[in-house]
Amino acid sequence: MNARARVGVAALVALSPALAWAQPCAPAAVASGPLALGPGPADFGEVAEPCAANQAVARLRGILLVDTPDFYGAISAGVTLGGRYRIRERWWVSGALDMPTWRYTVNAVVASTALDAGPATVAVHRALVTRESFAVAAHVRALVPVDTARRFGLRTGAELGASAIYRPGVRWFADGGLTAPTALVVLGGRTHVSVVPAALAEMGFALRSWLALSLGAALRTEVHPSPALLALAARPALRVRTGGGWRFALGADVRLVGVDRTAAAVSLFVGRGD
Amino acid sequence: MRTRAGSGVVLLAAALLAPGCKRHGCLGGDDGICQPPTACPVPAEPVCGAPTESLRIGVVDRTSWTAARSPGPKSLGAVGDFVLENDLVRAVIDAPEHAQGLAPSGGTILDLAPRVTDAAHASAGDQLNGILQGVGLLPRDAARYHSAEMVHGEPGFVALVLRGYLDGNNHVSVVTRYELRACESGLRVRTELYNGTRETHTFWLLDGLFYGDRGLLPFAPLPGQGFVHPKLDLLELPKVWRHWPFIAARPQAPPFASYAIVPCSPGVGQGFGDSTFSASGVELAPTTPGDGLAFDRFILVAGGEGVAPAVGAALRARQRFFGEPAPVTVSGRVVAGEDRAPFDSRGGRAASILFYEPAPGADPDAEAGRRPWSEVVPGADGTFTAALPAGKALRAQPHAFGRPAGKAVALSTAGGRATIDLGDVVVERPARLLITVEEAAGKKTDFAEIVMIPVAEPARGAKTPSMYGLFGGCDPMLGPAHGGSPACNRALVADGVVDLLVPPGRFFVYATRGPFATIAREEVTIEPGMERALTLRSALLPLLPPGVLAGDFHVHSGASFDSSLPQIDRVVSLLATGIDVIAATDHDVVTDYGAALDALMVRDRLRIMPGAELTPNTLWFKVPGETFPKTLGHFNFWPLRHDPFLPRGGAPFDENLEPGRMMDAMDGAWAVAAEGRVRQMNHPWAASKLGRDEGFLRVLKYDPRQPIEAGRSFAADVILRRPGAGHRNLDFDTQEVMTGASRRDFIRYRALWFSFLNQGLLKAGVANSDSHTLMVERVGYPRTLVFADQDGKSFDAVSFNAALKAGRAIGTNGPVVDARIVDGAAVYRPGLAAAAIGRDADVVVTVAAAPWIPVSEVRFVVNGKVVRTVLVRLGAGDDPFGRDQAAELKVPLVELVAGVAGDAWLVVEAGLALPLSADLDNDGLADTLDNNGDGKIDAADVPPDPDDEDVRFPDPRRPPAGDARFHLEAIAPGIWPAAFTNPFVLDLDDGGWKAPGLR
Repeated sequence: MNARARVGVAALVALSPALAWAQPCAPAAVASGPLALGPGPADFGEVAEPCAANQAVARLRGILLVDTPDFYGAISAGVTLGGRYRIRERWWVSGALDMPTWRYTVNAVVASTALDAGPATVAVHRALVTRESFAVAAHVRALVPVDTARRFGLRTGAELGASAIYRPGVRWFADGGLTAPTALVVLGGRTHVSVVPAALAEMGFALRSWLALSLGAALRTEVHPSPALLALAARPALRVRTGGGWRFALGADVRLVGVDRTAAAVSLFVGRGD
Repeated sequence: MRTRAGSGVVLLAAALLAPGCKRHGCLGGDDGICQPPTACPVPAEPVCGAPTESLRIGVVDRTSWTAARSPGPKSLGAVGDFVLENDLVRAVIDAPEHAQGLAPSGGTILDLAPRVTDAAHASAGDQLNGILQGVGLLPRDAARYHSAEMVHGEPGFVALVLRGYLDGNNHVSVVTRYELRACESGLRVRTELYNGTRETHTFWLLDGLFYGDRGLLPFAPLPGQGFVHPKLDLLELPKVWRHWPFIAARPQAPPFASYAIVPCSPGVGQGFGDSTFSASGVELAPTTPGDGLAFDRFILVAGGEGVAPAVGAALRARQRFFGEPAPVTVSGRVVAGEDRAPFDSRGGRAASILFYEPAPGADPDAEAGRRPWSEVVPGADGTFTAALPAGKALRAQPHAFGRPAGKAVALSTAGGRATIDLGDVVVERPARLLITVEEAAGKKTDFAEIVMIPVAEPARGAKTPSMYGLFGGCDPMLGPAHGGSPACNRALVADGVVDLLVPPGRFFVYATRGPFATIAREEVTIEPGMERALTLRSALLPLLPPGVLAGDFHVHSGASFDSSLPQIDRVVSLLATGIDVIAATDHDVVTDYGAALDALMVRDRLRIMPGAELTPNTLWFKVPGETFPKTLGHFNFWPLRHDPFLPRGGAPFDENLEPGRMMDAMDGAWAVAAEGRVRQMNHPWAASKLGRDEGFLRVLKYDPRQPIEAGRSFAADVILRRPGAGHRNLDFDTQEVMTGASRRDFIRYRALWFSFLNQGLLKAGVANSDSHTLMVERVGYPRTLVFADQDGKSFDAVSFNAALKAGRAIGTNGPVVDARIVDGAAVYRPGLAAAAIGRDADVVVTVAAAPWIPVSEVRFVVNGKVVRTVLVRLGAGDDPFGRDQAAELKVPLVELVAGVAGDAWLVVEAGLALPLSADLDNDGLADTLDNNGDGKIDAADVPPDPDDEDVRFPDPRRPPAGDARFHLEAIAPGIWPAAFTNPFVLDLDDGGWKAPGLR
C-alpha cells in the first residue's frame, strides 16, 4: 500500500462514526460470517455463517475456467436463492437453490450452452458457543438431487461442518470454519462417492459501520476417491449494510494453486433480514 | 464406526437406486462388467428367418483370416481382430492393441462390407478406412479402448463390447457396444460415457468417419448439399454445422459399397460432412460432473453403385426405429435418344440420376436450393430402382458425363403408394470411341493411356462438367475423378484397346505411354450416337542410358486412406507410363500388389518393393510460437515385409513419433539387409492439410540459410535429435527434390536439398509422383532414373536401392540429363561418394527428351548457385509427334568452379527456364512470382490472401495451342520440364572433401 492509500484508509477510519456493535452475532454488524464464494453447487461445501438470523439472500455468481494449453474453457453464470430462518434460540435452518444457471463450455472448437436449474441444499444449524467476542456453530447440510442439468441418475450428498466468528473489537473480525461434504452420484447401477473437505479462514475490517472489507483463504481438498489439493484460493470481499436490513456483498474466490482448473468465481450478494 | 456408518449409507443408497438404473449400462462408469444395452431398440424386434448359423462373432486367426477379409484394398482385418457377420454383412472391429488411422487404439470399425453371396453384389467389398469414436476434434478426445468382450446373445444377436477411456482423460470412461442382429445390414452401435472429472465438459460424442480424401464421397440429404459440403475449416465449425436424419457415402471405384449412419435417440444427428473427415454425433450440451452420455446409431452398408442402396437402407431403418412412413420404391429405365435404346450407365460413369426436392423459387433445379435425397446408378440395361422418402414432391434429374443429360422429371411420393414407375428417362445419346494404340503399324501395344481435352479451352468462369458439383475441371468427365479408369478425362488402355463412351463435343484425343515415348493425337468432333474407331500410335524412345531403371518411390492406391484407385488400375497406369520399379508406399500400410500383378501377368515387367508411407495424423508435437500442436511430416520406407496377418500389413504404428523413432520402429519390418533399406523424407515443405503437417522441414520452420548445428535454432535441434535409442531425425537416406507436378514445390525442395548438400548432409535427391489417382499427380511424373546396372529382368532390390542411396540417380519429369565428368581416362557419374577430380576435367552432358517435352537450357549448379546456363533447343514445337531429340555439350570444369576456393559439389539440371521468383516473407524459400507482369516481384504480386499459394505462386495453366508445352500440359497438367542429377562431390584439392558450408 502506498503512502497515499494509507492516508486514505486512515482518513476513512478517522471519519467513520463510532461503531456501536461488538458482539459476534450482533444484527447490526456489517459482516456476520463467511460468504458462499466457492464454485460448488448452491452452497454445498461452503463454510456456513455461524450466526442465527432470519435472512433471504440472492447470489449472482459467475465462474470462469480457462485452460488455454488444453483448449478448454467453461463459463457459468447463475442466480442462487437462499436464506436462513431461526427456529429456536440456538437453532436455525437454511437452504439454497441454484436457479437458473447458464453454462458455456468449449472443447477446442466444439462448444455448447445450456440453461438449467438446481441443485438445492437444506441445512440445519446449531449454535454451539456464544461468547462476548466469538461464536461457534455447527451444521448438517444435504444436497437435494434436483438438477435439470443432469441427463441420467442423480447426485446427492451430505455435509457436516463447523464455523466460527471472532470479533475482538468494533472494527476487526475473523471468521472461518471447516466442512466435510460427501457427494454421491448414483447412476447406471453404480455409486460414486467423493469426499472433499474444505477449510476457510478470513480476516475483515469494518471501515465504516456499513462497510467492511475482508480477505481470506479457502482450502479445498479431495480425500476420496483421489486425494488431491483441489484449490487454495484467495477470497477478497466487500460487504455493505444499509438501512432497512439490506445487505450487499461482492466477493471472489480466486484459485492460487490446485488441480481444480477453475480460475475464479465472482459473486454478488443481495440480502435482507435481521 | 463412523466409516462403517458412512459405508452403510452409501450401500443403502446404492441398493435403493441401482435397480432403476440398470438399463443405463455403463453410463455410471465402467466397472468392467457393465454392458450398454442394445442401441436403437424397438418395441418388437423383427423376426428373422435367416439361418442362425450365419450369425457369428469371433476372433480372426490365421485359419479364419481369409474368410474374415472382404474384397477390396481397404480390407485390413488382421489376426487378433474381431469379426461379426451375418448373411448380409461382415464387420471387422480391430483389436484394442491394433491402432489404425486417427484412432489411438483399436476398437474402431475397420472393415464393413456386404457379404458377397450372389451375382448382384459380386463387385461389393469394403471401402471403409475406419469409424472411430470421440467427443471432440482434438487427439485427446478420441476413445482409447483397452479391452474387448464378445457377447453371444440370445436370441438373434452377437455383440462386441469395447471398454476404455478418452485418450486424454482417464476419468472419462467410454464403453461401446457393436451389435449385429440376424437380417440387419449394419451394426447397432451404442456408446456410453461417464464424466468422472470434476468439471463440466462439452462432450460431442461422435462417430469420426475418416474418409481420408479421394475415397468415399459423403452425402447429406440437406438443402444445397447432397454430395457438396461447405468447406471445412475446423476453426469455423459453426459455419459448417448441420443436422440430418442420416448421412451416407458412396465410393468412386470398385468394390462397391455405400454406407449410412442413422442416428437414434434422438433421430437427428449433427456434425459436418467433408471428404477428408466427417463427423456425426449427439446434440451439443454440457455434461456436468458425474453425469453420463449415450449415443445410439445404426451404421449400415449396402452393396451396389451410387448412394441409393445406402439411402434406401437408411430410410427403411428410420421406418423401423421411428415408425416413419415406409420409403417409396421408384423404378424406371434410362434410355438414350429418340429410339429409346436402353442405356448402359457403365457403373455411373456414363449416366446416373439425382433425386431431390425442388429448390424454392423460379428454378426448381437450382443446385443451391434443391435438397438431394438420393442418387441412383442404372444397371447395364438402363433399369434402376431407388427407395425415396414418402410424402415428398421430388424431381429426378438424369446426368451424364458430369452434366444434366435430359429434362428433370417431377414425381410425388405422397399418397401412400409403395411403388412408382417412372417409365423411361430419356438422356442424350452418347458417342462411342473404340481406340486402338499401336507401337508400330499393325502392332498393338499393351499398356497406354488416353487423355482427352477440349479443342477450345473453356472460357474463364464457364461451367465445366462436375459430379453433382464435385471435381469441376474434368472436361470431358468420363468417370469420377479419383476412381478407376476412366477417371476424369483419362482412360487406361490394356491389351491395346479401350472402349469409351464419351459425350458430344470437339476433343483432342491423345495416346501416351509416358515421357519416354512418342505421343499421338487426333482431333475428333463427336456427335450424339456416333461410333468411331481411332488408331493412335505411340512408340517407345531410346532415351535412357543402359542399365538405368525408371522408378517411382512414392505411389499410392486404394489401400491408402486417401485413395480409392483399384490396385489393378494402378499397375496398368505404371506400365502405361513406362515405370520399371516402384516402392509401394500406401499410407501406414504395407502392400505388394500381388493379386494385380498376377492378374495382369506382369511380375517380370514391373517390380514392386513393398513399403509404406508413415503418415502421422494426430497432432502432438509442440513448435514454439504455434498455438496448435503438429504432426512431423511423412516418411517413406522400403522394402518392407508384407505380412497381411499383421495390423497394417506389417507397418508399425506411427502416431506421436518423431522421425527418428519412426525409423527405430521400422527396424523390425525390413525385408532386406541394411544396405538395401531406404528411409526417405517426403515433400519436405508440403503444406498442412486439415491441421496435419505433411512436410517435416516446414513444420520446423527450417530456414535453408541457417546451419543445422546444435543450439542454432529449434529446427536444427530437432533435425539433429535422436528421439529414441536408435536413429536421429536426420538419418534418412533420400529426400524428395521433386514431388508431383508442382513447379513451386520443386523450387523450394531443391533449395532445401542444396542447403543440406552445402552443409555436407549428403542425401540422395529423388523425384516421385506421390500419385493417389489417375487424374491428380500422374504416376511417373516425375520419376527417378537409377543407374543400377540392371535391366529389370533380374531385378535385385538390394543393389538397386544401394545405387539409389549412393546418389547414382537422376530425377526428371521428362528430360533425361546424363552428366559425366571426364578426367583423363576416368569417367565419373553423379554420386554421393566424393571423388578427387582435377579442375582440368570436362563436364559432358547429354540431354534427351521426347519431342513433345520442351527443353530450353542446361544449368550447372555449384555449391547451390547456378554458375552457368547453356541454352539448348529440344522439343520446341517443330514436330511434337516426331521422334527423340538429344543434345550434347561439354564444359570445362575449371570454368564452373572458378570461384570456388575449396571443394565443391555440382548438380546438372536441364529443362525449361525456371520462372523468376522471390522470397518476400524472408523464410529462405521462394514464395512469389511476378504475378502482375511488371518485371519485378514485390508486394503488388501478393494476393489479398497471402497464404493462397496457388495465386501467389501459381502452377502453369493450359498454354496456347502453338506453345511447345501444350501437349505436355494436356497429358501431365502442371508439369514444368525439369531434370536434375545427383551431385558430383568434387574433392578438388585431393585432401578429402569438405562441405562448402552456407553462405
